[in-house]
Amino acid sequence: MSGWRLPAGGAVDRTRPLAFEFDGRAYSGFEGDTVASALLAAGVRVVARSFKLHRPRGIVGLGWDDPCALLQVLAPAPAPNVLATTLPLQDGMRLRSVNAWPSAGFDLGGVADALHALLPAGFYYKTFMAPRGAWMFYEHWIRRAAGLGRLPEAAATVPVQRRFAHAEVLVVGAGPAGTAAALALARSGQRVIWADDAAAPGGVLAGSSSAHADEDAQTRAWITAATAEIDACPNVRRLARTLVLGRLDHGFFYALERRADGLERLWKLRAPQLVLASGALERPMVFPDNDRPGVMLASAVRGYLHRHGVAAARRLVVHGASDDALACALQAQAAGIEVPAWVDTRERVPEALRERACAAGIAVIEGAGIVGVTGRHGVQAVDVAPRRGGCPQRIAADGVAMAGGWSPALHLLAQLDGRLHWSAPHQAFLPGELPPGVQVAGSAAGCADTAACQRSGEAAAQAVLQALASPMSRPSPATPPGAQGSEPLPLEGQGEQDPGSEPVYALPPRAQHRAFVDWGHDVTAGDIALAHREGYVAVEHLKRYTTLGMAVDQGKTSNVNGLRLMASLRGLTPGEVGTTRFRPPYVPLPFGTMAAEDVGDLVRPVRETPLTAWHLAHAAVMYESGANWRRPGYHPRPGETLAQAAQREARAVREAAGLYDSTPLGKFELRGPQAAELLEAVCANRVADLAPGRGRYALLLREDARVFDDGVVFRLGPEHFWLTSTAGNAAAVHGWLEQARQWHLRAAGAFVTDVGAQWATLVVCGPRAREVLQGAGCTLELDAAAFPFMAVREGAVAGVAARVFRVSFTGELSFEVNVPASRGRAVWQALWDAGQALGLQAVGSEANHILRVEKGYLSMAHEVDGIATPDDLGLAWAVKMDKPFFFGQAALRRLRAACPGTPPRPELVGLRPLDDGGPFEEGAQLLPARAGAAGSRVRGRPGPVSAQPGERPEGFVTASVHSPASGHAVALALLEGGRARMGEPVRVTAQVSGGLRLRAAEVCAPVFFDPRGERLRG
Amino acid sequence: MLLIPCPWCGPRAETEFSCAGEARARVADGEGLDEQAWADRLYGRDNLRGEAAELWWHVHGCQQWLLVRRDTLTQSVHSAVPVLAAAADAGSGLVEGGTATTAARESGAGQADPWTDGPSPGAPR
Repeated sequence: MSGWRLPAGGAVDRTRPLAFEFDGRAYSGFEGDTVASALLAAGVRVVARSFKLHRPRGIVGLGWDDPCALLQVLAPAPAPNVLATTLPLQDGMRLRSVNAWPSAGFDLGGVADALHALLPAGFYYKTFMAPRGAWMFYEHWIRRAAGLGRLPEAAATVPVQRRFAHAEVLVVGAGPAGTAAALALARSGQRVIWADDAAAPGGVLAGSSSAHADEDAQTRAWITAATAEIDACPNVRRLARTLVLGRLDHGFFYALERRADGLERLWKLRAPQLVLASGALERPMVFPDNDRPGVMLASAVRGYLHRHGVAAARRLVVHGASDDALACALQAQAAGIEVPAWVDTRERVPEALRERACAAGIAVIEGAGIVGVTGRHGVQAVDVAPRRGGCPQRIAADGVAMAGGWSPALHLLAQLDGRLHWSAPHQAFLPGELPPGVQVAGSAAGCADTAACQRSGEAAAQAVLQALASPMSRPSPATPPGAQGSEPLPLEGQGEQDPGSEPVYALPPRAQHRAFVDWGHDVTAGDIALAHREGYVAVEHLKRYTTLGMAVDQGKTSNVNGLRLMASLRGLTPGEVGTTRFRPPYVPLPFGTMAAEDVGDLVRPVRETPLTAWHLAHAAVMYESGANWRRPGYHPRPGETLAQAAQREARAVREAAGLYDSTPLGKFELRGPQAAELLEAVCANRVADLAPGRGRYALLLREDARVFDDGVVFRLGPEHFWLTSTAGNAAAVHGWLEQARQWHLRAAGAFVTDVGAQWATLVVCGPRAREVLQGAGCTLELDAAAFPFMAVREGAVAGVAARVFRVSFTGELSFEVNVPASRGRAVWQALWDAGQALGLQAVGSEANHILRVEKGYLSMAHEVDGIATPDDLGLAWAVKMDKPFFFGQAALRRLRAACPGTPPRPELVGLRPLDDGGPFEEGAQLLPARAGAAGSRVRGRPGPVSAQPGERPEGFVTASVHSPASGHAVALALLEGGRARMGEPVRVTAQVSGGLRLRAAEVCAPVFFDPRGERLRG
Repeated sequence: MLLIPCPWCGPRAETEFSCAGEARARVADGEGLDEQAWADRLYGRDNLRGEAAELWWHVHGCQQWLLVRRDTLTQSVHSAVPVLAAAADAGSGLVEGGTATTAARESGAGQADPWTDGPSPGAPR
């Protein structure tokens, strides 16, 4: 047993015991404990196994700085890889260790530690290479060994809430500095958000009664009073239990609040000014076997004493290069822990401190370091030897407290545009020149004692107020406290530290491989030396080669020590080595937390039309189409397959009538004296000469002459036009129309309105379409003379005002009925009822696809691939080059001047299979014919086809269907120089298992039904 | 998360906008250019380090297209001017096929930068 619960003390509620289970054993703790403090109190020493070597690990830190104590929560809310030091204890909690089997105490994976000499940093770059072909065998075992924890089977029941807040200032941290800043800012009346990770303000002083008991008690009382005053200010939003995770551009922050009732909130904050009072992280000491369970950070030892009333050991050796070690030793003694020795690497510790130590009966061993720790599952004894060399002495102990100095937690500063500079007196990175809008206060800025922290918090607040008051002048950043003309004040307790002393001292090579720098990834001092020997000396290389700082703790305890080691190897200062790039988030987050409420159906909301419910009620199989629309693919009758249903629906359109919902179509109304000018510029066809009530095919090109979109354009009045676009491109076309209007043409006299959602668009098509409309009560004259093809009429259908366009995307007589969206369902029902006696059927996108392929009409996803020009697609008839200007005109002119090129451009053609193999595959490659070769099989792996040397694919199939109108399979394809190759045989690839087969086809015109369009013009 | 200071709607998050990249004039004429020069005119971008002029569309707001001057290094947004208004003041003055960056630099000073200089006057809270 090592840790134990003090009889009194700490902020835990001893009247409320909580039961929990870890690795199958039952323990108990108190309300206010974290899982780590409860495990420590119960005497559990081994809580985890390290990632690579499966070494036993215990609790090292107090909060987010602990690198090892990852647990799997089994109940109440299953989650993997939760840090035990930050997890509040709940009654009935069940936990398990990760990366250990069967348990942390006894792990079969521990054999990896015996092989540690074969597993240094970067070992995977030098292994698993032979024999070739065995990689998949290695990969199977590596995959099983990798990873930590297990994902829960079920999704979290309560999603994380997303919240937003805006303020002038964000104050991060509620220690003395943060509280002072928040108080000054609250009094000023500015809007403030004050965020702190703990449940109550106090920072490092929370629950503490240190060696400076009186001063700390005074400060705690002051913090409590200040918090009460701040809470009464309406302009302050205090976020407790909220960890600010990242700082992004323009004063944007995101933070995670974990409430006491278990609810989590992801806050998105906007504040142009930041006061960063985030404190400092303690550094461990680097010595052989410093990862044994029982070796802890000194601040953690103190924190467990004061916050949770838990003593981490019975006999504690303190090891440090600073005076923090003594403070820890004295407080431990006061709580009843034996402290046999204080091992300090400095040659001379300050006299005053030595006297206090001796008075307390603590042996002071100067100029020495720890050279070994015995006890694999928990410290049993410590070997101490002088740095200059000499016999080690063994001291029996069951805990070691490391006090390696403090590193300011400047992540939020450095994540964006902050600079850090190395301060030799502090042996730490301090803020450099501050970017606009950021102030740093407290121990994050290098302040020593509490009073200095409070003063720096007030100074930061004043600098912020000054910046807010004078918006036009660039504010001078507040000079970091301590740099106001005098030497920076050293960190708490460091006193007159000898700048030349190296807390990370030189180790003999063998010992280096057991001296851990990064607990999370088992990175040792030897690994850093290895990286140096192999040339990975730049800090970013060091990080990636050794994986230092890449573990779950993101290097909070390891980065600076690793840099200092590399600096001493290279003969530079750590400032010259530099730090790696800081990136948010400050701690790892589950993806579900970032997604907040956008889970389940909200991940990708689908758009539905007024007819979606009708389709679902009629057994439609719904497809996800472009732009998040959900549209019916086909409406199978009982026992029908997709192919049968699609063929039936297509036949109905050709023989009787079909009804389909075209509401997702992009629809725009353009008005104004410059509307015609705008349309003339964006369309390759003419627009201005349209008579009222008439329309034509509209072709939109990009500036490089590739087809961008197509639709129809109608003139509704003298300064009123209607333009449609494809459903998937509606947003892009809208943006392009506005960009052309506002930027390119500066057409202030044109107005574009996206009316896509305003109109339900119902299409009645087929030879009996007129009868259907008349049966549904259409007030318009529908005969060909009164209502010709490509005309628009306004009237009523089923009593609802409607705009009816005679356009066809199927090649049949077709009326596109536009009614207000709220009436769409009713009008659809009227058309449906009127059509039942006439053989009307509902048509889905599969049948539409068949119909348009039969007619050779283009589809944005198939033939129009972003590379094809109008000439390629046979649309030269729609392009009027004699217009003064349209987008794409200049590029098309150049392309035409360059034709024919080598190889010739791909052109739209039709294909007819010469065998009975049914439709081709979309994307099948086209090869030129070779006498006697049709039907041959190409061996080898599927891939780029090259049947003969010198042969290459000359095109591909864009769409292929079984055509009900002609009774066989048809296809559309893009083939180089296709229009000059009518009647030519080609070979078409087909995927079969083990390779490709070649089928024979004949090139023909890209239309298979009603080539002269008589049916749609009738 | 950039804040674009839309002159109509105030400073809004970049997610309300659609960015069309560098501001360029339309391509109207390709006479006499060789292939490389033509490809540059169609597809080339200056991709400046430092201050650049970009076109942003406030699609989820007022639907104005804005000429935004943004520093690509520091991300500070200096100004956002509706392109229709910009034309009225500065004259289009855009080189055929060129970018608007030169024109933007030469046109007058933009609005105050709210993120170094405080909230822009009149911006709604």
